[in-house]
Amino acid sequence: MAPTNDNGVPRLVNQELIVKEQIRTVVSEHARLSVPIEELGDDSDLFQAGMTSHASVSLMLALEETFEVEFPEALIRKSTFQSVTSIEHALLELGGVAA
Amino acid sequence: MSLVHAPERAAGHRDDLKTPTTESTLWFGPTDRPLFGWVHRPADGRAIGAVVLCPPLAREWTNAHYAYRLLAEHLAAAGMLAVRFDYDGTGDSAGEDGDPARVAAWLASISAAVELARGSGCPSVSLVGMRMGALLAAVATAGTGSIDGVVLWDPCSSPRAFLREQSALHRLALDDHPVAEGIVELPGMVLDAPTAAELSSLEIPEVRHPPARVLLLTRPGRQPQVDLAGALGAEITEGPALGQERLLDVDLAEREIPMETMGHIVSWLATPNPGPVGPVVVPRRESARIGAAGTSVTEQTVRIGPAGLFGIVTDPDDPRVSTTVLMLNSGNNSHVGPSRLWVDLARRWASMGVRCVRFDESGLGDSPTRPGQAPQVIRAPENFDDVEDARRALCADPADVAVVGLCSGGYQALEAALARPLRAVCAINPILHFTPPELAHGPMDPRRRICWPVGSFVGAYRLLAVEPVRRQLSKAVWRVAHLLHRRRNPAEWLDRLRAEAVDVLILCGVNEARSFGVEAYDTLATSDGDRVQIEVIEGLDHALVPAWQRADVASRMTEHLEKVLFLADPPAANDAGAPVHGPSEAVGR
Repeated sequence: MAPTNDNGVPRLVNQELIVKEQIRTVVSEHARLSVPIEELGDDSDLFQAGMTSHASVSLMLALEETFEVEFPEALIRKSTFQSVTSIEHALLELGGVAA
Repeated sequence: MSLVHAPERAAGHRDDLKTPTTESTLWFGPTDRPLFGWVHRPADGRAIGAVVLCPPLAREWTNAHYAYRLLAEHLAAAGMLAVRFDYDGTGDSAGEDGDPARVAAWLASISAAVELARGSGCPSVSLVGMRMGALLAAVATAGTGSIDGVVLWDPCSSPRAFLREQSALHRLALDDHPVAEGIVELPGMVLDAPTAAELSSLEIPEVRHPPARVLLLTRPGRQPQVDLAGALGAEITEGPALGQERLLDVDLAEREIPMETMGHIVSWLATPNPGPVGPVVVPRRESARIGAAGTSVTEQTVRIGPAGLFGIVTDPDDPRVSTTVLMLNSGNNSHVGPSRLWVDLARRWASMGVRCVRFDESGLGDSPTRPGQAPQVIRAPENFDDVEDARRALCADPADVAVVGLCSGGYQALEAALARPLRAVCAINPILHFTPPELAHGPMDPRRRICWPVGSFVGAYRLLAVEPVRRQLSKAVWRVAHLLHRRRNPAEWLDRLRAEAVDVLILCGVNEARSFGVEAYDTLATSDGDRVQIEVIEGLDHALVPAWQRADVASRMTEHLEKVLFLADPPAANDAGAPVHGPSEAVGR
């Protein structure tokens, strides 16, 4: 049985939600989207939502500061910053988010 | 012919400048690797001090170029002598960005510009630097001594951060393009690995002669990691760097000039005002020998036509053909071309014996506007006059010209060939579908023969998300459009160019090829012997940002130019009675 928090919610799920919310906060502050982040799903394409290349660099730097990681060159690709989910996967890979 | 070699000119009456100014160009620094610069000063020749403007690097240089020009003009109008220049291996200066030991070369360039300013007789010299230019100015200040004021304008948080941000921008903008090993590629610039490592570890050395004062302008939340002003050991004034996002963090076509911040810089540098001295002396070195492809070529600045367009002529020591190559602006990029490609090609082609001229069309780069014309407008109707003026001013036979351009320049090159036959056209990623700026206040200029004005219909059509529907609609739309506007149909006007014996090379990516219309494009296949060659290159970036693509396109263009100018038989009179090109001194047949 998965570990739960005080409210009986599985901890992993809770952590995932927190991380996603943190990512969403950083995205909303740095991605310069043309639509509010609240209108986008976790898999929505951020570039299609108005994020420019310059904004994606700002987002990358802000994510690095927030999660205390550094994206290696191999991960500096559009696909890494395409959506909240892809960002979360990259952060997991970098160890910036506890699995 | 209206060509002026004297590089000095009055900046003319400008409503935004409170006093008249004069501007001149010159080469300075080492004679074997000359630097190119501009000197702006009050028209009466008296100045209260000198200011050296240290530019940013890579694409930030491109975005800031026009702001630096305006800043220099406003400094001169406020009574100062302003020097703006290109670092060694950048802009119009000698050398290439991939040369070794760049950091030392850039710092030496600042020192040479400071010496130039100091030699003018001005009582003081200050520095202004933006982004990496600010860090380089800080380092140069520490080593140079006797600097009055230093303006650190939106400095990078560190050299390493600059490299990281810019290389990330390059990767994120291009994604699938391969990244070469052993070099660090930034948008518009390539550094070798040792230079990148050296830049990454750049620090401000111990200051021997602190500047009298420092103005530090930063974006909110973007304080430099290094205490720059503290390291310089000077009195510090802090302020906001307003408008930098809209200047640097946008596509070139969308940038906005941060006039408020520039006004702050001008007033800070002009205070206190010790009163002018003068006359200040600016040396003249109007031409330079530049190393190119194992030999040397000569470069000279020119003013073209009644508008006084700015250009640089690159002359071979041993001309092999009579044809002159004209290189046009790409969007509102300056005359250096996309990622400085025109500078590289002009020197390479001149070393092969071909005279080349890169120039700024009116209102772009370093050229003035024509009466009533707004600055920084891409695809302005005045560009027709600009190209015609250049042909008349620079060529004994205006038909003996090859015109080269990318994007809007590619479009204008094709229009130039249709307006009056010429020898050859090389158009890279020409855009034929756009909204001409004159439509904002009137009809389309009748000289536009191949432009397809973009309207709301096309926008609505693009919104159709379903690709198969879009494809079918596209074919139908183009079939109807080409029937209604036969003369604008690429197949029609390319035939006209064939009949006029114009050699045409069009290099474009898949998206740009659609400018020719899907239906028409299917029928535009050309054979080896055809005067019209269209090469569609899969994955070609519109602005040729990846270095390997610039190299590939440069090779294709050079090969085509050699074939057209050196190997081809002189064009014969054609059946349509088109003018025959002047005799070419072609060799190697």
